[in-house]
Amino acid sequence: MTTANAAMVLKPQPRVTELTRPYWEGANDGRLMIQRCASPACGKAVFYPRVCCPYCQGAQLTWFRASGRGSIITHTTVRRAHHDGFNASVPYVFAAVEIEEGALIYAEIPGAPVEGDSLVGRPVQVDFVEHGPGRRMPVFRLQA
Amino acid sequence: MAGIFEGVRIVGAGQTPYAKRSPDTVQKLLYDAGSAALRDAGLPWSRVQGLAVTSFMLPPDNVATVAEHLGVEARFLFQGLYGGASGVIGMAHAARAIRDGTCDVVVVAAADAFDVSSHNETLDRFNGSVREFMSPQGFGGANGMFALHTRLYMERHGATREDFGRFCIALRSNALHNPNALFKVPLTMDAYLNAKPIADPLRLYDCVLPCVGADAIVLVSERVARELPGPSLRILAAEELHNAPANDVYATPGGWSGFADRLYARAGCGPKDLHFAQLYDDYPVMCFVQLEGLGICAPGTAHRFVRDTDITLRGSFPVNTGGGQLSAGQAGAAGGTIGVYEGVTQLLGRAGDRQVKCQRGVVAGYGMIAYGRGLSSSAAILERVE
Repeated sequence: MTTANAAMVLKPQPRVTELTRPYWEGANDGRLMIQRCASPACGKAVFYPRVCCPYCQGAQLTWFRASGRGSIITHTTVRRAHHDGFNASVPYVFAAVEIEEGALIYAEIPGAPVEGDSLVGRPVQVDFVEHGPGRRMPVFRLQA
Repeated sequence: MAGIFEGVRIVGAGQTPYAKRSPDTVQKLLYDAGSAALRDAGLPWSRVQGLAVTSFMLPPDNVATVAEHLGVEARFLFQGLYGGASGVIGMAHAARAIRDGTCDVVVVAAADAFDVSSHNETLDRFNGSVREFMSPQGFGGANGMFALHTRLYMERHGATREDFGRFCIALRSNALHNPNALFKVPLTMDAYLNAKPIADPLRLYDCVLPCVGADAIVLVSERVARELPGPSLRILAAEELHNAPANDVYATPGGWSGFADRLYARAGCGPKDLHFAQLYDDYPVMCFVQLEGLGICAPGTAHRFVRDTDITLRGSFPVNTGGGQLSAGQAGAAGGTIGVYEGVTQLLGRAGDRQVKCQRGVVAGYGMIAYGRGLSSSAAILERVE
């Protein structure tokens, strides 16, 4: 695969399942959809999508639209692609983002400087970009 | 003290040379490393009654079909599903089977035949959360995932690139005395700091090189050990912990701290009684986390420990005496057994040019990369029987 024309190779595409459909359909509609534990004693935001709450093992999780605001916990500049679909994208900033409702999401930070000062703690806002046929991907953009 | 693995001995270790490429299958690599370990012990394959095998590339085969392939009638089989934590875990499971009288001789082995692209392809679909919520998002593979941990460690504790460099340079110095290691030339700080950038802040020599290789050890009952001419080791304690702390990807110091007290209590010794550490070194930051989690230094101080302590073969506390994965190479799942092999070889007194003075040491494992971190941590304390 390493000799293939990078422009011809799709990025890895998620497999949409019954469990993850609300997340990916939300992304296509420009909404960041996250699960929340329905137990009043817990109520934690949950990501990635689960079949039960990983904090209290409660069976009831409900989907809600997150604000899309968050902050960068840590980040890297990816310079060597892990998949040929990203060969044309490197270098780019990739980060662990904690959304304000309290879940960790990994995403690209398009437009962030690939060199220079630490971005840890910087506020970000979700956006949605083309990722493949019929597929939009949540990313986060630095806020002023 | 009696110990939880009473009646169990480790009597041999074997390793194939590590190579960038090889036509060998994992079955052949497992056979070669297992044969070397049995020769080391002075036992024939005909005495083997159990296998503990870890290999990412083994499917659609498995440990039962490996037994078939090698012609071993097995009373005990274990297949490691915890990546680089599996070497220590497989050893502990084998020890329990021997202790309980299930069998007398078990070969614990791991092998893989990776290169950079096959390693990336495996990791992309390693499990559901990586495949759906890290790889499509552009995580940059294991390099990207551990770059995130490295930056966080640097910012939390004030560690510098030079601190990780010191660690990598010391391991390279150790590897120069390991004939099986892939890297044969010294690493300088200048070369480390100016190497090709991979995923900031990681550069080339922070990242293990996927390669081909295998490691194995032999566990026996005390009864069988008495038949053998050579020395033997006992397992003072072994622990594993998975997904801990739950739901906290960037907790420090990570999984090992969740069982270190129990490990030392069961072993009847403390970190000051150890003569070496064989750590899981996929990236230097994880060795810092292990040094802290295993209580060898205080939380948040591993970078200062590495500044103040000579961890080479000549030093007061040698770490990864064969060069570890960072300098010997990462043969996939064998990365979880290379430290077990090295610890056993050192304690048996068969490490040749790289022999360090030791009676007791710790071997640690780490693996099953998932949502942002490796889920599985393991460690064991081994001691030579005098």
